[in-house]
Amino acid sequence: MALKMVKGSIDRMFDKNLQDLVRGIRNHKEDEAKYISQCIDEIKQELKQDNIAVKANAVCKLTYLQMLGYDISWAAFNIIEVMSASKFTFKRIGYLAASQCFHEGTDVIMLTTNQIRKDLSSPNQYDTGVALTGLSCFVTPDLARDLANDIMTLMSHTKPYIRKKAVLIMYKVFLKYPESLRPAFPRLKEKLEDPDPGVQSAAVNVICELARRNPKNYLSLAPLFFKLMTSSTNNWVLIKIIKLFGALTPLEPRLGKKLIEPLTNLIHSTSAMSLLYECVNTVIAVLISLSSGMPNHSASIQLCVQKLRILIEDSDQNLKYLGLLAMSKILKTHPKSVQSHKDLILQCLDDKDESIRLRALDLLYGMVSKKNLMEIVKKLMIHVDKAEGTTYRDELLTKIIDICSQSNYQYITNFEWYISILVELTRLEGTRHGHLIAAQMLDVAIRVKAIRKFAVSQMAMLLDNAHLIASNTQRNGICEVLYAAAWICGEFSEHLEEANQTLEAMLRPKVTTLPGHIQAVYVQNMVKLYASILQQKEQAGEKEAAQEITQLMIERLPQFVQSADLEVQERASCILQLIKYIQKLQVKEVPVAEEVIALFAGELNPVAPKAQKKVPVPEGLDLDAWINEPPSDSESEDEKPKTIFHDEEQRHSKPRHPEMDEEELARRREARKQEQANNPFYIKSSPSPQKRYQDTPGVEHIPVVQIDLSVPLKVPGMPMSDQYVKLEEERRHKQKLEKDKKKKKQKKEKRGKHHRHNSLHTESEEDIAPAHHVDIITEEMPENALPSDEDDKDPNDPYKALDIDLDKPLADSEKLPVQRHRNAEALKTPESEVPPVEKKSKKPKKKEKKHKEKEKDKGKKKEKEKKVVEEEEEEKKEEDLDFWLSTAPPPGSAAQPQSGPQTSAAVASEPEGVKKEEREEQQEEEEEDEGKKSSKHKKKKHKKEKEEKSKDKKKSKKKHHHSEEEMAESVQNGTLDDEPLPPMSSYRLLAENPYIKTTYDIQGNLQNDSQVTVSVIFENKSTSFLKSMELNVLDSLNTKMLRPEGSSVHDGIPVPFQLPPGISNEAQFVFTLQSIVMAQKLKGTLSFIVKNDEGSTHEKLDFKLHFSCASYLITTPCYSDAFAKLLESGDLHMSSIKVDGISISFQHLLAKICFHHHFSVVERVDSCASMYSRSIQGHHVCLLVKKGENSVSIDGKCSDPTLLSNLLDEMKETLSKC
Amino acid sequence: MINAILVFNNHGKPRLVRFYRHLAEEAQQQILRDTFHMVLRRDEHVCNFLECGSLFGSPDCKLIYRHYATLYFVFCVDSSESELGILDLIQVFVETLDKCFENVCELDLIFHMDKPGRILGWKCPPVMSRMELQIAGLCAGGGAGPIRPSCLLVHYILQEVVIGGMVLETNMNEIVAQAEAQSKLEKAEVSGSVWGLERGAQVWAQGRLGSGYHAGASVLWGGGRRELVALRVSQPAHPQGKAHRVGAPHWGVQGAASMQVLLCCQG
Repeated sequence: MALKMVKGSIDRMFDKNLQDLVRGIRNHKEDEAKYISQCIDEIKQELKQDNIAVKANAVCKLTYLQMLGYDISWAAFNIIEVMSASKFTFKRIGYLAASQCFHEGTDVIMLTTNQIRKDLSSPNQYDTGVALTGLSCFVTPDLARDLANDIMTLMSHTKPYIRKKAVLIMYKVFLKYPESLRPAFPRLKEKLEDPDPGVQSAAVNVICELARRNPKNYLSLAPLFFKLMTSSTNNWVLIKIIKLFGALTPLEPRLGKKLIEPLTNLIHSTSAMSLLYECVNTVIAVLISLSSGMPNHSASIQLCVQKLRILIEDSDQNLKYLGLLAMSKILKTHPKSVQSHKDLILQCLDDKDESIRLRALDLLYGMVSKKNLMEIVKKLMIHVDKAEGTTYRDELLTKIIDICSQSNYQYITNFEWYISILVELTRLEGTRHGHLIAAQMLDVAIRVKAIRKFAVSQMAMLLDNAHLIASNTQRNGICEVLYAAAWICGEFSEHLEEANQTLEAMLRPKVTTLPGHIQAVYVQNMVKLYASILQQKEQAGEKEAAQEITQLMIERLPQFVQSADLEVQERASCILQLIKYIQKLQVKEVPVAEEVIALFAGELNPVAPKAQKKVPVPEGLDLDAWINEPPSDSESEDEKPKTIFHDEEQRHSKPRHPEMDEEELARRREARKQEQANNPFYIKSSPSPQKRYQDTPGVEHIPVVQIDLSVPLKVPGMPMSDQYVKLEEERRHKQKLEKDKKKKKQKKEKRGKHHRHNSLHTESEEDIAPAHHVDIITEEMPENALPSDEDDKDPNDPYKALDIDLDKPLADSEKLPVQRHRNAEALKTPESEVPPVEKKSKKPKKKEKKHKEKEKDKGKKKEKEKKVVEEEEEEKKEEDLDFWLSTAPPPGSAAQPQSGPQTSAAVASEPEGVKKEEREEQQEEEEEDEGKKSSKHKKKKHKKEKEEKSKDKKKSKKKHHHSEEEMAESVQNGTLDDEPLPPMSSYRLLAENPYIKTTYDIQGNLQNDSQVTVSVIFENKSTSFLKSMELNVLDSLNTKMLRPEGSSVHDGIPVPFQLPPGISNEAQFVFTLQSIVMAQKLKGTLSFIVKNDEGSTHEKLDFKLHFSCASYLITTPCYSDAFAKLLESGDLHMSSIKVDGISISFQHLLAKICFHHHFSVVERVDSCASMYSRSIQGHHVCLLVKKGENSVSIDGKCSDPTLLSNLLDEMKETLSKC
Repeated sequence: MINAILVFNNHGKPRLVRFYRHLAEEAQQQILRDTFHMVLRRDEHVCNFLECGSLFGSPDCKLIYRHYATLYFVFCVDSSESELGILDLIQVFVETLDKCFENVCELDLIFHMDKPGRILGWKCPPVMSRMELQIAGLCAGGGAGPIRPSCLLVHYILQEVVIGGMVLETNMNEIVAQAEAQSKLEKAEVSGSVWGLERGAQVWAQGRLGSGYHAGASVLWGGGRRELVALRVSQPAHPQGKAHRVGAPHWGVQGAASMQVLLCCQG
């Protein structure tokens, strides 16, 4: 006994460790909560002890309890204590607990800053690692600000283990403290090329996350990523990069074009399914971004679809799922290529995996066409019958409705069929989507006028069979359709054949078991019905029948008057009284129908859901202003009126304005009307009800979508959608026969040319004429509705803050804050003394340069040259991306020379120049202080540089003055992006024969002033295989093709690929030239071997390669002040042209000049713009483009008169084509 | 980004809960329950992806999971992660756990679940997979010290794979190396020298006995799991407390138990 007691007390004395806790919880299954609360009490005791090991043990247990859902935030302070333990074991426990439960709201978190900093700088890499890991979970804006610099230093730690962690954590820091992004970005970029693959992967990871949110800021990294993509073998990195490219391509179509080839190669070569899948995904993204007017990418689409088909056919469900997912992306832009796999997708509908079925359904949504809608929906209906779970069945139901109603019922050719489908769907038991079906019924009946008659007959039948639908009411959602049925029958009662019968159906006692809101609609609509019957009978002179129907109403309505539902009761009693009154009149033999009908006259039009929101606020209307001045403070609370109506009285009692005489009132009314008439924002009142008595005027102004006509079908009885499918097929067959006949006639006329075309055409969509003449009334919007659609943007998006231009140079104000120790006791960490980052990173480089210079030759000239080159290189940096992209052939479509990145880069470049200069100056001053040993020539150089700088400073001051102009410019540039530009292609036809088509484009080479690159696209048009292609030109004195060393002028250059049928590819050839002031034409030949089943033949194609002067120009941004200086300098020759008959907009005109002639807009004011470009040999070309009524005049200035006149001639030619 | 990593068993009992953005405990448990129910509904041999728009409140969210014997490993990710990549990552994670737990035979059971006949012939291992026990924290994992049961170890290993919702390392050898290096570091802190261990044990014993007792311990032989520890416990009231030898084949539970017995005798 005593022993037991002792044992018990000792038991209690023993602290449990985590394992005991886990075991204890297991053994107390019945009273787990009680046991745990007991444990928590123990833990609280343990935490009070001084021993850190005991505390750590307690925190350890808390971590476990947190996982079970217990709040442990009360122990936050103890967790910090454990975090600051000196032993790694405890520290780790502390950080783990902190990472599980700390967050921004944890107030003690600010106490951790110094501890974390200490741990980050610990000599033990695992201390640092643990701190970083913990930080990644609970970093707050304060911590991020205070520790950003420390973490950034760790990005260059000697241990890759720390480096990669630091890199990843930087992302979290950016999110919490966006200001750190710009200073840290250069180093992050460096890490992309870290020798350790793990660090590299981490950096890719972070940049991908960043770029996903704000892709446009990361476009300039594309070349670097491209390099990584082609060099890396780590699939993880590759996947990330490829995903990133998927996000970037929509912004820069040229990038997409460059990507296609390496991606296709990867698709062919990789064995990793994950990589293959991501490649396909990105190729799809590229294709979407290039979608318009890229005929020669059909091969890529085919490849993607083909690979996806393999995935979908795979037995691995994961691949199947992903295949379908990717397929749905292709669908959006290339529906045709997906539609051919309809069989496969329908097959997936039978899959036992719900995820896969849902994906397949999604695909079907996009695959429907007018032609196959009925067929697909029929299949879906079969699945609806077969489906087991209600969730999946409901999903099917919504999908059927989605598919049919998409884009304003675009694919429905037969609305009778659709109504019958809806009616069939009402037979589904236990669906939650009754309201959805009801909404569709209402929508179709209202918007498709032609269908109303049919719809009404169907709805009447539904009402008649209401007992079937509402059999087990209340929780059965399907009874919602009765709501629609009742409304439609009431509203369009004129179409009803057996109105009496329907009315009786609505008056059945069973109706009172329906939900209140449906009964209310019943009551309201039975009056509509009643009104129309009344009218009918009166017109027919059947007075007795009219009285009978009134009597029926009076007999049956009381059941609704007794309803528990307030709405039903109110309506019913109101209507009952009305009908009793009518009865009285009827007895007196007064015709009443006209007046009763008038109650419901007028058409109800659909209103767009956003219409209310879009009503613009009229000018001068201040919604926040008081209409009546608020009561003054003197009127205290108790004086205020207590009833609602009191207010009214009070207002009346208030002294009124002096009474206006009648004349004055009339005058004012007139003035107001006038004003309203002139005010475009005033929503005019609808025609007064009196006018509406007749045939609803004012409906005509409703926009109506016209669909052509044929005879409506009639199917007696309860409709079966299948019947419609058959009938529709017959109808289409007939149509097709007729069309074929017509076509045969046409064929006879134009045989040959359109041969292939026709055979494809017979199946195409346009052939199917809808069965009905259908007006789909579009939804009404208020006048002057605002077109903008900003409703969906979330103002609280945390990633918005990271939308930062990364190409701009750092300003001093942007340095990361460095913690300075205020109290001497705090431990000094080496990091805290690290100078601000960008200085640190820039300085050594600069010094290196100097060292090199010192070591090298002391000759002044060489140094100067080098300096110049370096400066130029810096200038060029901004154009890097552009250049990188332009070495690749620009896309055949929609390449806008003024697209976002360029302009932003352009805007950025000027301040960069200025600031760099300033910084350099600073540094040089430092250096001067450092060592006065520098040689004399160096000092001279300094002087010169300083002179330059002062000039630059003047420039920058000038820039200040110009700032207003610049604003205007940026606005102008902004407007350029608003209107979509027509697709343009810089590729011109080189030559063509039945086998092959070649197009080409010429680009100047920035690095070399006497070279241009000719990109030629070869497209195999035949069904044979083309190989051994060789291109040769006859060199002129001025222009020569660059051939490999050792080959003679007569040797051609082999094209580095072969062309299977239907494939196109691109090759580049470099030409050297001396003078660029004149356009040139070179004759050449392309020889190739055609190989097909019958054998191979040798073929030749002659061409003329036209080097226009514009192809020697390189799009170079220029600033208005620099531009002005250039013009002022006076050493430019001038010339001008004028072209008449120009009808395109000025913006398109500028875009054309920019695109085809490689100019950039310097400034644009109204219909006048200045433009600039530079030739590869450094000629400046300035243009002033003015647009008149129907003409355009271009004044040009250029350092070379011949070049200018040639350029203007070319421009004239381009413009005259407009 | 990975939003959360959840490991739970066939009954929905959590074994590892790691959220990469803050959520209140109740919300975490709710997500855990929802996830469990969603995953449980699914048959074997269906795809391992689940759309769960409602779960995290953003449509851009997917559950990617794998089921090993008694354990579900679920990753909640957004669209920036490659689905197949994450599936691989789960595999890497599980294999790493296998390596770190130094318990090959049990994992054989887990990894060959799809071919049950080949190994033991029953469908679900009756041992309930030792691995789960380990993760649950009942067994001492890899060279445990007194206060480092394995459910923390799972966290620590995870920290070498994913931090802050981003994939840190995918190379299994690297992960194992780092995890082991840190385990060693811990061991060194506890038993760097024989006397180092003694200090650790002393601290531990003191913790267990409360401050009223003095404890001393010495390791007689061995390190790691099979230490033989001599532990002396004395009470200030009886200054001449006796020394006792305690055999501790497993430092964790059994050691504690035998010590209890010892103290009982003393009492």
